[in-house]
Amino acid sequence: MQVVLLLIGSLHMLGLLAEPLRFFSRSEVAVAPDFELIAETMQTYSQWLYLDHGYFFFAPNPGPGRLIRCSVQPEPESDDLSSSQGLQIQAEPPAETTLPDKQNQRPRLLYHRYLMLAEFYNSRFAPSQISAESRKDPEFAARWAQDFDMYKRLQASMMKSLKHKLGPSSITLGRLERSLPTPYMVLNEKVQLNDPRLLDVLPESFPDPTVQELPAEKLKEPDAKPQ
Amino acid sequence: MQSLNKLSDDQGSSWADHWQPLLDFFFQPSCSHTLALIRIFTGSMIAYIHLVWMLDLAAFMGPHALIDNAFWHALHREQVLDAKWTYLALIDSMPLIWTHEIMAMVAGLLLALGFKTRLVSILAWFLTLMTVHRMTGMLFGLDQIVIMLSMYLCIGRSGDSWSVDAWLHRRSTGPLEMAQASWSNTFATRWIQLHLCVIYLFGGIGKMRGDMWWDGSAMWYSAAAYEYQSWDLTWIGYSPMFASILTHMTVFWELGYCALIWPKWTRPMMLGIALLVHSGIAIFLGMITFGFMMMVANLAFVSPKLLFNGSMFFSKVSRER
Repeated sequence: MQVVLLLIGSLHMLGLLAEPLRFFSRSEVAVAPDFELIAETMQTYSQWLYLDHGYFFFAPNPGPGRLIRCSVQPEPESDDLSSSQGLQIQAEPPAETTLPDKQNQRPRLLYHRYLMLAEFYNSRFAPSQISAESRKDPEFAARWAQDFDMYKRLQASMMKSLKHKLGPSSITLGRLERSLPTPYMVLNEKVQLNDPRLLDVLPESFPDPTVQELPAEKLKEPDAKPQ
Repeated sequence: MQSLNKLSDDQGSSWADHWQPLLDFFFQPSCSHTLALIRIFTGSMIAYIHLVWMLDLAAFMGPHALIDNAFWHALHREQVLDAKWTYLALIDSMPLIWTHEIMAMVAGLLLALGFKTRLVSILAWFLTLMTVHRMTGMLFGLDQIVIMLSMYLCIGRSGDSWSVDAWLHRRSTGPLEMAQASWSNTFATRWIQLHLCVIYLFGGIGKMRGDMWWDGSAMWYSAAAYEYQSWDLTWIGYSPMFASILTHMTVFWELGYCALIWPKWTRPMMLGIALLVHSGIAIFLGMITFGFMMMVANLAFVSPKLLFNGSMFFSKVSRER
């Protein structure tokens, strides 16, 4: 029986190692075929037992904070009165909240769940457009289309949930990034860690995907100055 | 082991001599006190985790969840077909979901108390696993550690000590039989230890890939992450040398853990650093639950005898008072 248990244990160890080995052996150009084979063989086991982790805690570097900005514009109950009386009601600016929310999400574990959700939301982001150059690669274009579809579905799911919670309203989700300040900024310039200047709104699309890069020789011309 | 000894006799060689250290490592009987302490903390944490899910359950599961079942299926069945199966992704009924979560919380509490330990350890692990598979996008290291510990607790006899089961058994037959050593305690403890070594090894390798862990600034940038901060740690910026030493100590401790935790003379040092690192994560980086459970996992390297003697000492002191 002990021999059987040791054999099962060896397979279990393979299941533990499979995902981190695959995770670390992946580069931009290739995945190590031996580790990929191990991971594929063991993936049903390691996935169902929730052993498929890369253990990338604060690695490779501590990164910026990722948040979700939620703009909520309550839907007017009825606009019959204002239209019949010819009144022009000025729309109130939308209320904005962020996820996670340290003040309202307590205990800390609940806040951390929302923090992870914000990280997940940002990790699923796919731009709404890609450049004409990228579209020429059918494999890349297909992957982008799939990723973008998933991102929209995630957005739809979250907006549906927030609408249910907040009542009839128009909700827009956005992505925020909080940069990490340097020691000089905090200790000398007295910048607070939650200083709004550290918070950037991330674009849903890249600036202008249709703009083609200038040929290299054009950039070298002395009068090629930014407009 | 008998089959191995037989093989050894047949061949006239010392097969068993080669295997014996390995067999001893995994199967030499040991007492249950280490696992019992891990059981108490893990069971309590399982109950707490489910309690926190229940604080905002409609946002996490059911028809109005932030990540609804349709998206869950798109992620785990359409985009890739993975093995993350859970019945919670098939149901939208809030009463059923509440029932599941309450059962999981009760199973966690019973595990902590050690009542019907074998049954509730399997139940607590399984119900928590089902929740974890459903909660894609909201998980972190805490869930990994809790699932790991509860899985190995299913193997050992953690209910033999410091449990309602042990108390009930003592009342009927006396303490001796219940407190006996078992190979399954060693087997379960060894797997917690090995799993922990894998976690730290890859945690360390991951950090080695980042330049901030080399240039000594990672500790500062971890402290400066507002989303994680619970207590102000930015004072470490006044001493870049101190911040750098902490950064490098963390990386090399993680990398060296899988080797230096085994020799008796380096083990206290490795456990001491584990205590410092994880209490730092708990206090300053706002991950109290995760930091705490990592410390609990490190208990696997504390011998049951030491824990038993410690408990005897404390009960003696409290009686004298």
